[in-house]
Amino acid sequence: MVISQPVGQIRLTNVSVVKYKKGGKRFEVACYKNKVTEWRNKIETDLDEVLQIHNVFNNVSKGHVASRQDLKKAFGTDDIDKIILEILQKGDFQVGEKERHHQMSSTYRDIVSHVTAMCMDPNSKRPYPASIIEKALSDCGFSVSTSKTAKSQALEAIKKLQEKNEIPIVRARMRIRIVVDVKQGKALRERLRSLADEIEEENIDDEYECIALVIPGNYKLIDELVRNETKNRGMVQVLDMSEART
Amino acid sequence: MPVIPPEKLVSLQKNQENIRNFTLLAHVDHGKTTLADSLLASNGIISSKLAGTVRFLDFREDEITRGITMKSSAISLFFKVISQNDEKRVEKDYLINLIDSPGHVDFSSEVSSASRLCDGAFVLVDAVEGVCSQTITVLRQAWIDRIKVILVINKMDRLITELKLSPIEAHYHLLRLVEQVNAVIGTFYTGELMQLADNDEVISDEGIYFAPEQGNVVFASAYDGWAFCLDQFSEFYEKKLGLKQKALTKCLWGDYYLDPKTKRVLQPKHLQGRRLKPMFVQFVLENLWAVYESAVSNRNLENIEKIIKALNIKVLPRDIKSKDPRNLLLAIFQQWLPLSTAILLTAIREIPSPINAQANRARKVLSSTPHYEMIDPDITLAMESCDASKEQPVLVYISKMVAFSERDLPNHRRKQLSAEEMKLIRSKLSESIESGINTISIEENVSSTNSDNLEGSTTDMDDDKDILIGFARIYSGTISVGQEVYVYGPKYDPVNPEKHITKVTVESLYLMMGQELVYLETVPAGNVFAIGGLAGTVLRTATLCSSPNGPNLVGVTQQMEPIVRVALEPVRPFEMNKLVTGLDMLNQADPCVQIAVEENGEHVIMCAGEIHLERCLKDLRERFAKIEIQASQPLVPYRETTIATPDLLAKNKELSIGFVTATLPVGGVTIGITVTPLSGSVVDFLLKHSKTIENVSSNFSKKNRNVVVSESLTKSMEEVLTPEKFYERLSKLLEEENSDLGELKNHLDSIIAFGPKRVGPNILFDKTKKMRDFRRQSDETKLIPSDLSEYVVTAFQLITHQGPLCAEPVQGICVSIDQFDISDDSEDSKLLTINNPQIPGQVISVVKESIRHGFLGWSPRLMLAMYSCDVQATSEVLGRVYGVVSKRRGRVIDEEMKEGTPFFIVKALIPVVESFGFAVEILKRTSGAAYPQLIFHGFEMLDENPFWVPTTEEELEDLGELADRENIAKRYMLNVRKRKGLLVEQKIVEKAEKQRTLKH
Repeated sequence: MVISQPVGQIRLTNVSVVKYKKGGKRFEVACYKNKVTEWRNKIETDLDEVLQIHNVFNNVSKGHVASRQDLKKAFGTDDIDKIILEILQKGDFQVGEKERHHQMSSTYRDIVSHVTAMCMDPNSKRPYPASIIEKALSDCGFSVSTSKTAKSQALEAIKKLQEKNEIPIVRARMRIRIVVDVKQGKALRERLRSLADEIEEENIDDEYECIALVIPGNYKLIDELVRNETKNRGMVQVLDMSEART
Repeated sequence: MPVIPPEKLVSLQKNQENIRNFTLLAHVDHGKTTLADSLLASNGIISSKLAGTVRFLDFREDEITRGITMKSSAISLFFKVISQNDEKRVEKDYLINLIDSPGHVDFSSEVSSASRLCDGAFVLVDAVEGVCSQTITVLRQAWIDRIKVILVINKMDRLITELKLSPIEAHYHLLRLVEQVNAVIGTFYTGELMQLADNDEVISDEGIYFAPEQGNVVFASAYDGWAFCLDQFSEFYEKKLGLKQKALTKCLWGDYYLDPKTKRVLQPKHLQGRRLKPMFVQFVLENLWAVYESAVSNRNLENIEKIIKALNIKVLPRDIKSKDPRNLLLAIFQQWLPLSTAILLTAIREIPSPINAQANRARKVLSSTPHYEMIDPDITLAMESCDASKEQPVLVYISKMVAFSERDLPNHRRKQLSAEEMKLIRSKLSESIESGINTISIEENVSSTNSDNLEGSTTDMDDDKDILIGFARIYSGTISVGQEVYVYGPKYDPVNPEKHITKVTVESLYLMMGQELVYLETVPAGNVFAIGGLAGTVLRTATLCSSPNGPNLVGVTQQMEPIVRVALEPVRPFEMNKLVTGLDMLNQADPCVQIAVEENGEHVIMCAGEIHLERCLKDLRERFAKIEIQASQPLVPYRETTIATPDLLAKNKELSIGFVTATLPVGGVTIGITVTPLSGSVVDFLLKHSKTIENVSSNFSKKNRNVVVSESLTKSMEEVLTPEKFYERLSKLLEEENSDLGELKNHLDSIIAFGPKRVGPNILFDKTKKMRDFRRQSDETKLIPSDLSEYVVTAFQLITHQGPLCAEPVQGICVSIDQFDISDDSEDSKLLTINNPQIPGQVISVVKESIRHGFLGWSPRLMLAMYSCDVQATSEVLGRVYGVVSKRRGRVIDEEMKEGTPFFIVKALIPVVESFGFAVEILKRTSGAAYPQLIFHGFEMLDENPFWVPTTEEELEDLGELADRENIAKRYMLNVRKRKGLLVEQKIVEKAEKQRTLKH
């Protein structure tokens, strides 16, 4: 009788399995950890640095190699190289620890640089340095998710900062210039005023012109409003992406 | 001596003949503060036993732990001279205003402010270490300020106890030392001669050198509490030797010998082989050596008693028997050669009183102020005569603002009284000064109770606010509390008397007693004092004057450029406000700090050195901001550009580089764009004329209006050209270009934008000319190119603001739109209406992407921010300077000798990224002999493509596939990308197989 003894060795430690289901069968490829993302981003170009074994398995941990028939049936070819590339490109895999860390930190930095670009200190009208934003974010318990884009998370982060009142922070407004005909201008004026946060300058002679600070979210609305109402005779010009003093 | 009551000092302040203002200057650790201690002991402020060890004037905690002085502090002393002229005892009371200044190189600005306040200076030199780098600096400072300098050779005891020199050896050592110092003075003198024009009067070098026989050299050991001048000894030996005192003084220094038989003074040539000792050795040094020998090295009580007898002094038996030899030394020397007497007597004899000093210096000081001729002549006269009468105009120079904690202020103590009591005292005060003295005694009572309170409770800590007080010297008139005076800012100019001038009421005046301040009612001319209530009006230095057109004394001071830059931020982000106010206060209190807010919102502080920085941080943490502060390396700006390299041009002769066509995802709109690099001369031209561009670009919109582009004003005055002239010059510059750019000059009328921020050094052309007319006149909803022009411009602005390499501003590219077609026949054309909200976004992203590709089609380059750096160095350390500069990837652009001095001026350019710690490194490597100054120079291209990899066979052979040699541009680029969270093309794991496979 075979007595199975506990093994003091952990197997398959540097292996990350890429799984792919096709044609009702499961196919797996044995790869090195922390490498598949790089391969997909085309940073790593050497296939040998990615693959542990140049073969396709049904189950990597059991060591079942996929049969030629299965491969032919599912992929329509038995060219291992092509199949491996397809599996690597389309399969599911577990993101490695280092990969995740890298992803998180770069998303985090991206969020922070978005926040710094979008916001400012309302008192001094100057942008905050990135390190301050980073600290404030970690103080108010902001956590990064890798599924959302950096920009949408940045907007969430700003909300959170304002809620927790960690630092006085406001969105830096855009400075835009609107020029329309006088007639239309009179009609539009009130609506523009409600959309714009602050009107810095207003001129009415043969044309209606105003320079306004608007919340970036409202820029699109104003742009559309002006274009539609004036049948494209009006103009909305972005003078400054941010009012912050630099 | 009993403790001198402050009121006595107050009355002394009026007698200007008997005032001496001097400062102590020296290299770090040459004993200034210890010397000051002994002087304090003579006034009973500290115990004479403790003098030399307590370092009373170093009261800051960091000063005590480091054992060096960091801030200059002042104290007023009283000194009584009893001279016996013609059998008559003449008593004279003197007021001594002493300023202790720091010696460390980082605090040179404090030295310069101290020396401006004074009429004279004691320069201390360590007898063992000799002339050090800072000694030269302070000597130069004194030379420039034309103040009377007295040399103190300090730490003479080290010659005896440490070096164990024999008296003769010590004599030669001292001779050499004085020569060294004189050599330094000599270089200043020759330096000045070199600068004189031919017709200028040559100043004689008489009297500028140090000579013990002239009485301007003092030999001292501040630690052991003794000092002497030669005349003290000559006076002692006058009768014994039967020689005239004056003659004897001359012979006591140098190669003079006394013939023991004939009692005549001999010169070396008359020695005739006899081995005699120089008189200085025989009469001065040997005596000192004898005392040390019998008291310290070979303790011999009999000898000591003999010496005591010979010197005719009394020493308590307990001191003689004391086991600590120092007690005995102190006891003997305190009576034989007391330090305070020697120093103060010399000060009184050598240093001019304010009246004399101002008579000499006033004109020189005033003539160096801006627009000297506009000054009211009355003020000049009053300053020259140092007239303290109340009718004379008041002229006060404030050299710096010092922060005192409120608890140290006497008037704060008074606030502890009830309001009624205060009123009472106030009314008393205004009645007469005598009653003022009473108030002071009241205050003292209060202060004692106050301190009791403090011991009991710690709640008082919240009251412990800092108050800024000006360190000042009054040149004429009498300033009194409640008086209204004009404050001239540092930029004040008598030509425009309305500018930089404010009127304030003097709130309080103080006498400085080290850490403590004593309240005063009035201060007459010639004194050094402190003035309160100027925070907010006076930033660092200022001139106070009772009339509106006086001189601006501030403009004269020489200050070192701060060289160490760091970014500061609060540890807790919500304390940003406190940091800002704290920085403002620091800016006022320290003349050598500069603060700035960078473009990215960082608060940057510039200091003179690392120790200075540490002190500033400590001040901020504990006094000004009272929050935790972090200092870090400031972020470094970059620029991106792209160039045409010769091989690139050769390779792609047919292909047009930088040309990209793209279509909108909606379809039907095709945009063709060419990106071309601009040459340096065009970029320079565009950068120089941003104001003009602002005007020109406001013309791009249909109506000619003045558009406020941005609120920031250009700092430097720049020439604003008319649009016609601007285009003319631009086309000329473009004409000089050879390639495609030359052709662009024909399209100048099609420029539709500059970027980034509408004024930058990048140009957007519209060769299709379809976008010139900004606003359509028809009512159709169908899209035409001009509808989209605004979005194309926006895309151009965005991409030039955040470039393709690492999202830093781009400079020197020219984008031209060659093609902009909107097709009618595609099926998507229905979608191409002005009401389609998707189109603007798509246009922006497509144009951005095309410009990006076009940009990268050429050979992209990073531009580094550069510092231009002037290093002053002696020839010995020149090599080290070169070493440090090249290590920091800098390059030397110029090196020249400064005539008349042993210095070289080396001009170098250093990338800002590499400059962190540069100044400190250069100081360290050259032991302080080279001093760098960093000024922002501009951006310079780093000639290395960040995307370069070895491609040719040769390169592959040399460098291997991975390019072993580091690509610096790539490293910089990746660092910025990492910082900003952009995509970094770097492998997380280099060798997949070699990852640690065990779990940990």
